[in-house]
Parts: sequence; structure tokens; C-alpha cells
Amino acid sequence: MHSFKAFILFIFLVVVLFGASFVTKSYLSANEKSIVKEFISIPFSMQMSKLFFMNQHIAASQYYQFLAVVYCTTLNYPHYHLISKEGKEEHHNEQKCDCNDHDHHHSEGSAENKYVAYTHGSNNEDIYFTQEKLDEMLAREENIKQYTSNYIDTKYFYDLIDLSNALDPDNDYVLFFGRGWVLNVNMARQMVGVLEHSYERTPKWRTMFDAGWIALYALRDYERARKYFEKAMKHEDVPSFVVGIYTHSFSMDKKYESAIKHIAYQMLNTKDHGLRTRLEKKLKWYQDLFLLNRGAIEFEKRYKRPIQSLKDLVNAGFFKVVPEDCVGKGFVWDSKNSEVISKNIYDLVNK
Amino acid sequence: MYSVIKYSIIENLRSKFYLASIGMILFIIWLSHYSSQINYNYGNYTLSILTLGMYFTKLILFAFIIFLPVSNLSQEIETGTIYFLLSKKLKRYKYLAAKYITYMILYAALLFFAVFSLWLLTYVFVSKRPEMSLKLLYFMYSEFLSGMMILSIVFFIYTAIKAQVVTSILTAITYFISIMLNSAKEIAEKAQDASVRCFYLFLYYIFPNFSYFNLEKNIVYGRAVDIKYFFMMFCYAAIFSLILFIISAVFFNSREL
Repeated sequence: MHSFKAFILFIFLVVVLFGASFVTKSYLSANEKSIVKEFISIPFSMQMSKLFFMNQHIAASQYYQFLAVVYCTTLNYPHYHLISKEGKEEHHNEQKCDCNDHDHHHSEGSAENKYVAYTHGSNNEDIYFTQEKLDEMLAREENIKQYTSNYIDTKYFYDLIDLSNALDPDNDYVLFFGRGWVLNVNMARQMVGVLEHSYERTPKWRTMFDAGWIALYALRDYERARKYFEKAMKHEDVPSFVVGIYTHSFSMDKKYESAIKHIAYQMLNTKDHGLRTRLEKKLKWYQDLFLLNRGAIEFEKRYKRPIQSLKDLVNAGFFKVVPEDCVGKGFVWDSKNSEVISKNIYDLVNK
Repeated sequence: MYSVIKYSIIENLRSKFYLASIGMILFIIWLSHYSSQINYNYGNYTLSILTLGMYFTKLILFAFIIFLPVSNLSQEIETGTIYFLLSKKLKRYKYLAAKYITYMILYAALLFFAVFSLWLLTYVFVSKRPEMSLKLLYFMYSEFLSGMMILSIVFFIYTAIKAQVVTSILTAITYFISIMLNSAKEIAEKAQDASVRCFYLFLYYIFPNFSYFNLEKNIVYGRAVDIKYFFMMFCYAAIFSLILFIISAVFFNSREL
């Protein structure tokens, strides 16, 4: 009788264990990612890295960078090169995934002209594919860009980048890597945060320049971008192109007057003849753009309609001739945004 | 004494532990090469392989220096070899010194092998920047001094407590506490209570600090180290090791085998 009771008890305990295990494991498995990868406590990790990595901070930094690289491979981001009709490479998608785990699409077509792009195989061999496959890849690329958080926890990813840089502030590579993976506005915001932290730890012009670049082109937050560029420009070793991009940021939010003032100030402070000539050219470009835009506004006020082309401004007597565009490929009227733009520059910015 | 060193080296070179260490070093060199390939970005291979390679090498060397000497000494006591050696008018402290020199030679050989493999892989096959290879000598030098100190701690603990496994564990604990020593100084500076402050300051100064031997940043980024720093490193390691060795010799002389 006793053994029967013990047997029943045993069965009961097994069933309870199974039931409890089933319920808890179902929940834990479903939520494991969010629990494990919710966030990284950077100060704690930095302390622990001392122990785990026997005080080898750079090794710890490389390890977290390694985690970030491996984590990115879960995105399975398409990697491809477009082929032009002449058979030369036309375009390479910008994300550089360092893994061997790309979307490799094999084309079964036989005619060579069917191929529109190629990717690399595990042995670095070229694998060609057709338009149909390319469309699939483009759709996937777009989907990843829009819904990145469905694939990876971006906060976890940028925490890894931040931690890696915190452990070794000289590890700029990890910042380049993180910046290279900015796929959308949300990731851009997080990357700017990482760059700000990095700058607080080790002030470098490059960090603030990168933050400014992301704020300018990914976030379209021009004021913020200029603040970052200004910080970068305070460093003695800052290259001249940073100043150029800072000036250019004014044209992006149509503050031509500020750009003109800034260039005039730069001209006053330079003794370099070459730079002065370049600045003069740029100054003229901004002045023309500014005057053309002001003319377009005046025209609209006077005639109660926007201009159709820049010739309207000449015909109305605002200008004798349309000024020559000394930087871009010619000034044109953008009716969509109701502004005068410099053609080539406008295209570049929108890319 | 010379014979003890000679035969100990020959015996240990053939030991499974030593051969396993060589095998492990080759494995970790390959491992660091492999992981660096994944971690490779923006031409960062050399930095990646060096940091991972040095870290793994350090790990193996650390395991080697805290396990092999204790296990060998215990074995010699258990098998009675030590009685045979000491009966030949060899003084105990000389025996201990011979063992110390033996393990340092073996350690140095292993270190040289590891550094050479790392150099070969990084600079000859990959980076092709042999001028940078000189920086790996920093690693060799600092690791040798660090090994000297760890071995003296191993001898000190072993002669004091005579327990094989506990000695290795305590040495490892000592090493890891030493890494956190700067925190002890921070606590001492912030502490209100004088006794707490004294305790942490005492801990800070009496404990060995292995952070001083960490030159990885200079190695991977190719930065020079002041010659005075090298000299001070040597002085610190030599004085610390010598004092600990003398105490170990006193313990060893007075204890029952």
C-alpha cells in the first residue's frame, strides 16, 4: 500500500514538474531575448571585464566588438553589387557585413545578360543573380531598414558598441562599425548617443564630426549637427573639410545668410591663398543662391504666383542673366519644394 | 643545484602538462586568428589578432604557472624524490631556488614560443610590418616579470599551507584581487573611518599589483614605453619576488615534508 502511495506521489510530482516546467519554459523561451538583451550595465561590465579579461581592456573591447559584429549577422543583411550593362560594377550596397552569412542568391538562368547583380560566396567567389532575385533582396533590405527592431535589439547593439569603445577609447574602429550600421532614424539617434558618450570620455574631433554628420544627413537636425561640428572645430587637428561641411549645413536648412557670414569670417582668418580662392568661389555660390531664392520670393509676392523657371526672374527684371553655378551643375527652380537649388549639390545631398 | 635544474627541465619538458600547454598555445593562436577574421573591420586585423592572441596567451601562461609548480612539488614529495635529493647535502633553500629557476626557464620558453607564434602569424603572414614586432618584446618582458611574481606567490602559499589545489586557487584569487587594487585605493580615499582607510591603504600597498605589467595598449597601438618604466617594473618584480622567496625558503626550511 505504501509503495502504491509513493508511486502515486511520484507520478503527481512528475506531472506537477512537467506542468510547471511547460508553463514557465514557454514564457521564458518566448521572452528570453528581451530578458537577456534588455540592456548592458556599462559601468558594471567595465568592472567585470577587468576580472574576466585579466585587466586586458583592449581584449575586452575587442570581445564586445566581436559580439556586436556577430550580433549584426542575425540581420542577414543583403550584400550585393549591381552590374551595369557594360558588365562593370555600378553600385555596391552601403552596408558592409563582415560575415560569410549573406543572402546568397544563386541564379539558375543561363544567359549572362540576365544577371543584374552579384554577391560573394563563402570562398569569396562571385555568385550572379537575376532581376527577380535582386527585387527580393531589395525588398528584404527595405524591410530590415524599416523594421530593424523586429530583427535585432538595436539598444543592445549600440550598448555593445558603447561598451567596446569605453573599454578602449582608442578603438575608433568600433565607432566606424556602429556608424556603418545606421539604417534608420532610431538607430541614428542611438549612434549619436554613443558618439556623445565617447566624446565625453575622450574628446576627439572625429567623434563630434561623425555625430554631426549623422545628425545632418540621417536625422536632418541641422541645429544639432552644427553644435557637433562646432565642437569638432574647436580641436586643433580638425581637417578643413569639417569647416566646409559646417558651412554647407546652413544651405541645407536654407540659412544662406549665415553661410555667407561664416565664409566671410573664414576668409578674414586665412592667409592661405589656395583656401582663400576656394572660399571666394563658395561665397559667390552662396550669394547667388541666396539672391535667387530671395528673388523667387519677391516674384511670388509681386505676381501672386511662383516662378516657373529662373528665366521668369530675368524677364521680370530681377536679374540681367541667371548667374553661373560655380559649384554645382547649374541653378534650377525646384517647383516641388518651391526653392532655387544647385542641381548637382541637391542630388548629392538627397542621396 | 645545477643538476636539479637540468633534470627538472628535462623531466618537465616531457610532461603531459607542458606539451598540452604548447598545444593549447598553438590552438589559441589559431583561435585568435579565426576570431579576428570575424571581428575584422576597416583594416583592423592586426589590432584584433594581437589583443585576442595576447589575452589567450596570458590565460594559458597563468594556468601553467599556477598549476605545474605546485603539482610537481607535491608529486616529488609524494614519490619521495625530494628526500633523495635533499639527502645529497643539497640545502632546502637551494632546492627551492633550483625549482624556482626551473619553472621560470620553462615559463620563459613557453612565453617565447607563444610570442614567436603570434609574431609569425601577425607580422609575417598578415600585417607585414616587422618593425612593429619589436613591440611584442614588451609583452614578453612584462609577462616574464609578472610570471616571476606569480611563481613567488605560488611558492609562498604552497610552503605555508602545503595544500596543492588550495595553493592554485589562492594564487588565482590573489591575482584577481590585485587587478581590483585601484578600487581599494578609491575606497581608502573616500572612507570616513580611519581604521577602514588604514586597512584599504595597507591592502593597496602590500598586495602585488599586476596592472603595472599591462602594456597591451602600447603594444597594439605601437606606442613606445619609457625605459625608466621598464626599469621600475623590473625593480618592483625583483624586490617583491625576492622577499616572498626568502619567506618561502624560511617556511620550507622549517616545515615537515
